[in-house]
Formats: sequence, C-alpha cells, structure tokens
Amino acid sequence: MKITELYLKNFGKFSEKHFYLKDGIQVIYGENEFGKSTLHAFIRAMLFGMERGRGRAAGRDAFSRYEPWENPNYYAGVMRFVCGGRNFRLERSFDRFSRHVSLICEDDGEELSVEHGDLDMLLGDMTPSEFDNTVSVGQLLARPGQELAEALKNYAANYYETGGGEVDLNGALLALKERRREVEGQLKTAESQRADVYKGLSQECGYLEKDLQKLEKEYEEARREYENGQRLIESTDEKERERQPGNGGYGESARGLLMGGMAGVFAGVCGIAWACLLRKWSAFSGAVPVAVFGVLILAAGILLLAAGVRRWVREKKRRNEYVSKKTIYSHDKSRLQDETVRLEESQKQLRWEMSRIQAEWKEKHIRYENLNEQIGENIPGEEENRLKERKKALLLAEEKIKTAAGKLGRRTSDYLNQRASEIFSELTEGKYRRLQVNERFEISVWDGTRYIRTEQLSRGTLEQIYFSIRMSAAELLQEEPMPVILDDTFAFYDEKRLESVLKWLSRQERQVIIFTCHKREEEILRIF
Amino acid sequence: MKFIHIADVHLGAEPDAGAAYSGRRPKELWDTLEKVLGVCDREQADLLLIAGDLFHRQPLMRELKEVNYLFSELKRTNVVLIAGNHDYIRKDSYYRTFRWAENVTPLFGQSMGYVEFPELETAVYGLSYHRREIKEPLYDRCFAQGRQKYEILLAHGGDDKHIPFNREALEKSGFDYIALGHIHKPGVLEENRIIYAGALEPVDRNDTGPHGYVRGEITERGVRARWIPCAEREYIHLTIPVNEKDTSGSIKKKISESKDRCDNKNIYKITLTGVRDEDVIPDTAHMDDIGNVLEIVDETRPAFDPEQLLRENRNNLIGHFIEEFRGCREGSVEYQALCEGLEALLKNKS
Repeated sequence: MKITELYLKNFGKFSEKHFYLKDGIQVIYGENEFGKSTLHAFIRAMLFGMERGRGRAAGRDAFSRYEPWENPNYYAGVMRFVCGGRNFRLERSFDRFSRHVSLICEDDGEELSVEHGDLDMLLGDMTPSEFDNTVSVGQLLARPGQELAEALKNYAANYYETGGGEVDLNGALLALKERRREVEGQLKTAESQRADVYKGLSQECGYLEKDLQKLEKEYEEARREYENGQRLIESTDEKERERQPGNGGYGESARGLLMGGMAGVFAGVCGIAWACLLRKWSAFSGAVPVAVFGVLILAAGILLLAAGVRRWVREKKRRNEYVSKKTIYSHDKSRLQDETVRLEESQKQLRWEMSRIQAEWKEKHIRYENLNEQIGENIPGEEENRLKERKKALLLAEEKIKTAAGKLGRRTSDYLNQRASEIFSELTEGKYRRLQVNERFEISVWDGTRYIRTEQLSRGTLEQIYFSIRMSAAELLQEEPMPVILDDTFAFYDEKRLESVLKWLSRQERQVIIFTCHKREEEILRIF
Repeated sequence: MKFIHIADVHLGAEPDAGAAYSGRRPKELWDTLEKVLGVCDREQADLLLIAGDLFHRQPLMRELKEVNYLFSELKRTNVVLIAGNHDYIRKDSYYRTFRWAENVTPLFGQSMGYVEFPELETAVYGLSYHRREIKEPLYDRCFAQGRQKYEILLAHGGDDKHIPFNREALEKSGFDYIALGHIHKPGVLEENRIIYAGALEPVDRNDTGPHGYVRGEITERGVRARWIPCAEREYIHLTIPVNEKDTSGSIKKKISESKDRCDNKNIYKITLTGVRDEDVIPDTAHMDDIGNVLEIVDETRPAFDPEQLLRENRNNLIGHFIEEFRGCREGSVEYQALCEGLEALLKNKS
C-alpha cells in the first residue's frame, strides 16, 4: 500500500491543504509547531476512523486534539492510495453531524463499503494497535520512573506473547486474577454460611446428645431403684412366708400314739381275760402262752399310751404358745403391709418415671436423628457449585491465555530473533551480530565476543533495537507492505547509524514517510 | 362422595426462602395444612386423602399430637394417610405406636391394605414406606378388589428409587381414583382419575410454579377432580434480559419491577441473560431489595462473537486463545473460560 495524497479539508490546524507523496522514502520536514504530529494523526484517522471518546478522557483524546481550530463542525479529509495496483480514494468526515466515510476505486468508479470491511481487507486486517506497534514508529517511550531498557523489555515481552502487542497480556491476566479473587470471596461467603448452618445443627446435636446421655443415666438410676424395690418386695414376701406359724392343731402323731396305746391296752386286757377263761374250762396247755402274749400286748399298749399322753401334753403347751405368738404376728403383719403398699406405690411411680424418661428419650432421639439427616443434606448448593465452576473457568482462562501466549511467543520469537538480528546487524554495520530475546524476554546483543545486556547500551542503540523489532514484526504480520511512518524516530541516532538505517529503508519494498525537524535525513538521502 | 387429596406437605421442613421469609416458612407449612382442613369443613368433604410425606422427616411425638388434634377437629371428614419416603416407618417411628383420633385411618402396612367406609360406599387402598427407597414396582400388580362401590388408591412414588410404576398398569388397575404423591409438581396422568396433587407448599427452590390440592367428587356419573392452588408462596425463576445500555442500577430496577409484577410474596431466582456493556459488571450481591431473592445468576456476556473475533485476530494472542477452545460446547466450563478470558483480553486491548 502506498499513500499518494493527503488532503486535509479541515483537520487540526490545517484547512484545505494537500500533501502529495511518492513511493520510496518521503521526508516531511518541518520545524516545531509545523504540524507533523497532526499529519501523522491524520493518516491514522483516515485509516481507522476517529470517534469522540466518552467520559472524562474525551477532553484529551485525538478527536478533541485535532478538532479543527476553525469551523469545528466541518472536520474532514481525503486520502488517496494505491493498493494491489489499484487507486483508491478514501474520504471521511469526522464531525458529529455529517459523519460518514466513503471508499471509491478510482480506476472503475466502484463504490466500496467500509462498514462491510472492504477497507479492512485492503489493509490486510491490520488493527489500529497493530499499526501503532509496528509501522507507526515514534520514539521509544518509557513511563515515568521506568528505565528505557525496561520499557523495551516490556514492549518485546508483550509484543512476542500477544502477537502484535495490541493486547496487554499482564493486564488481562491481572483482570482475570482480580475476578477470580472476587469469585473466591463470594465462594468463601457461601461456604462460611453453610459452615454456620452446619455449626448450628451440630451444636444442637451436641446438646441433644448430652440430654440423651443424661436421660439414659436417669433411666438407669430409676431402673436400679426399681429393681431394688422389686427385690425388697420379694424378700418381704419370703420372710412373711417363713414367719407364718403352722396350723397350731394337735399333731397327727400324738393322736396316733394315743389311739394305738388305747388299742394295745384293750387287746392286752382281752388276751389276759381269754387266758383266764381257758384255764377255767379245761386244763388246756395253751393257756399260759396266751396269757404271756396278753400281758406283753397290754404292756406295749400302756407304753404307747404313755408316749401319746406325753406328746399330747407337749403339743398342748406349744398350742398355747402359738396363740400368744399369733397376736404378735398379726400386729407385725399390718406394719409390713403398710410398708409394702408404700413400696408398691413408689414402684409404680418409678415405673411411670421410667416410661416418661423413655418417651422423652425417644422424642429427643428422633429429633437427633432428624438433625443428623439434615447435617447430611447440608451439601454445597447450586450457588456454591456455580461459583466453584466459575472459579474453575477463570483459572482455566488464565492458564489458556498463558499457553496461547507461550506458543505465540515461541513462534514469533524464533522468527523475530532471526529477522531483527539481521536488521540490527545492518544498522550497526555489523558491530552487533545478533539480537537475542530469551524466554524471560530479556534482550541482549552479541558483539562477536560477548552478550551485552540492554541496561548497558546507549539510548541510541536501544532505539535501534526497538526499530529492528518493529520492522521485523511488520514483515511478519503484514502481507501487504504498509507504509512506515517514522515520527522523529531518529533523534538519538548518530550520523553513521542514520545513514545505515536510511540505506536499509531505501531497500525495502515499502513507502517510508519520515517526519522530522532535522535537515540531516534529507541531506543524507540526497547523497544516495 | 366428596374428597380432598393432598400430598407432600413436608411438615417440619425448613425450606430456603430468602432472607425475608426463611424464618417463618416452617410455620407456613402448618398454616396451609390448616387452611386445607378448613376447606374440608367448608366443602363438607367426606375424605381427606394424604398421599405420603405428610412429614419431612421422622415425625416427633409433639408434631404427631399436633397434627392429630387438627385432624380430630374436622367436622365430618375422615382422614386416610400413608407414609412416604421422607416420613417412612422406621423401626423406632412413632407412627408404629401412635393412637390416632377416630376419624383418622393410617394405612401403614408394608403391603397393600385397605379401609372401608360403608356409609360412603368407598374403600381406600394403600401401603406405606418402611424404608427410604423402594425400587420394586409395587403398584403395577395391584387391582381394585371390588369391596365397595367406589375404590380409591393412595400411592406415593413414581421415580426409579421410589416405587416406579407403569402408567398403563395404573390405568388398567380398576380404581376410580388414584391419589398420587411424591412428585412435587402437580400433574395429571389421566384426566379426573390419576393425579399428582403436588406438594401442598413448595419446599425446594426448584419446586417452581403454583402449588395446592385436588378437590374431587365421586358419584354415579363418575369422578370429577379439580386442582386448586392454595400455597402461600411460589418459587419463581425469572429470566431478565440485559442489553448494552444497562448498568448495575438499571438491572436492579428491572429485577425489582419484574418481582413487583409477579407479587413480592413469592421467592425468586433471577437469571440475567443477554449482552451487556463490557465495563458493566452487575453487582448481583446487592440487588435483592426485599429479601425474597434466593440467587441471581449472571449469564450475561459482553457483546462479542468468538467467530468474528477469531477472523479479526488470527495472528495475535486473542486468536490463539480462541483456538485453544476450539470445539467447546456453549454452557460448559470451557466456554465460560473462553468468555471470561476474551473479556479480559478485549478489555486490555489497546
């Protein structure tokens, strides 16, 4: 692409002013205040348009800066250029009321559409920032307080990793990190809210657990007491059974003995009588043994009778004793009965108490289990999961940006190192053979014996490195060679280097527009 | 014979209802039950059918006493209930021993049981959960036994883990009415006959839409059943479109207006969609003016089109970054990462 004419209808300090440009190196010389920067800005505005910014920054933006001094409602210009062998006329008007843009191919009169990207196509999809970072070259600018070498390093780093320097890589990563922090904060809040719920629930569970243990202890005590009571009741029953006297009547044995004795006496007397009769009636020899037998039976009967009487007497005595004892016993019994009633009453109360404890325990136990169930359900909710996912996405975004930057950096740095080295070597007439940017984007130059770090280089040399990188990047990025615009770029170059750079530029297949306030560029070029 | 059919009352639940309503929400579940009991009296319903999950968890004795008292106060309505998967009859459940009022009949057996109301010429069949999950299709093999003129099945479940059933089997089962519970969204499987009453009150943030009960009548001419909304509150998911002109403040206003239109007694989940100005990051944490918003999901994206961006940035970091996500699905974490990354990159593009 070659610019053939700049026609500033009304732009900045210029009005109805034509600048005609040819191919090759074009030097636009002007003293300070001539309007070199205005022309530079005009080219940019023509290529990419220019709109009034919004907000507070609007007062200092390009639109306001180059707003025509006179008649600001007429704010327009025309640029003619050749691209791909065809001539084009690009016209823009910037002011609010008549803002428009037209692009006409002057060879066939075809009207092209800027809105539909026809101009972008002609520019090879070059973006404004790509323009700023490659072919539009000013001086290397350091931020206040920043070393120039540092600025160069940042430029290279960002340039290599973002493929054109239009994206602030660190800024983007910082923005992502900030958002991630924000999300992490929200996540923390959500998690702590859930933790609070958990805490509340488990605290209540803890109280219930204590209550349950207390109830179990109470129940155990009541049960022990109850069992003691039962044992007491059982033992009283036994004692009572023991203490209960017999029936107190005459013993069967005494009665038997008396009856036997009486029967013996009666049988003995009968035997003796029978023996006497036998002797009277006849001299029967059997009378003697019968008599002896009778006497024996009588004796036995008497003996039995005596024993019977004795036992009867003893039993009678015991019966008398029993009667007196019984009165004592019945007295005792009423006392014992009172005690039993009392005992049974308290047992009943204990039973009631035990079932009350049991009921209370069960109620609390069910509540306890329900709470445990609730604790189990206290899992991350939708919001928490969403936040977690968001955090994951942000981390992934950071990681992928780094990966992409790394890949891009490797790809460009290989090329750039080589091409920038060639250019730089030529500019320094072979003093430095190689320009190297390592993976940490530290730049060093090889002078044939050693590597020299940028911090040790002069301002001029740094400017030349900057220029070399820009030019090699322009070659990498732009298929269609765009005009190079050099705005006071060579202020720090010495004569020799200036000669070298101009020599190099003159060999390039591109238009070069130099804005300068020195005469030396023109002088050197005249010699060529 | 007139009946009211309710299900999934979930007494004892503590539904998430936003800052303003969460505290009183458990009580509202009771209030709405009472409201339905009032309807039973007013409509002179003969039967109140409760198709499971009357309680959210194992009922406490005091809760059972409370509910039993409320039932006992009914003027003419008999209550039949079954236990669902939430209030299943555990070994130590009070359901096993509780003495209900005379007009309350639980069908707490593990296998199909029934209760007859000769004066209503009606028999109600049902079974209860004795464990949390029942994967057997118990209802597929059950039929009306013809004990009474009108036969009703009380059933709880319908998903894989809770007595899955075959709809056709139910249709052929011969019951005059099948009162279903478990699915919280009200639904009709067969007009006037097989109906999910839905939860009486919504108890989960995803129980969106209206909730209520079924009022029905069985006569010689058949069954007429109507679903009637009565829940105190609704969960409403609102989608609020955002455009490039919106700011945090205007989005907040939009949310507030949308809520006003739908009634502020309801509980909201808000989803912001659409494109927004890349400099506007909605401050979702401070957009709930009343305390009835559960969550604001921000799905807005700054206005950009990855395809177009890729075309425009083939050589630089943005293009390479987009390439890293080639083929990712919209809505995935990768897609989210792509959007977040692009937003950060574009914002830092000079």
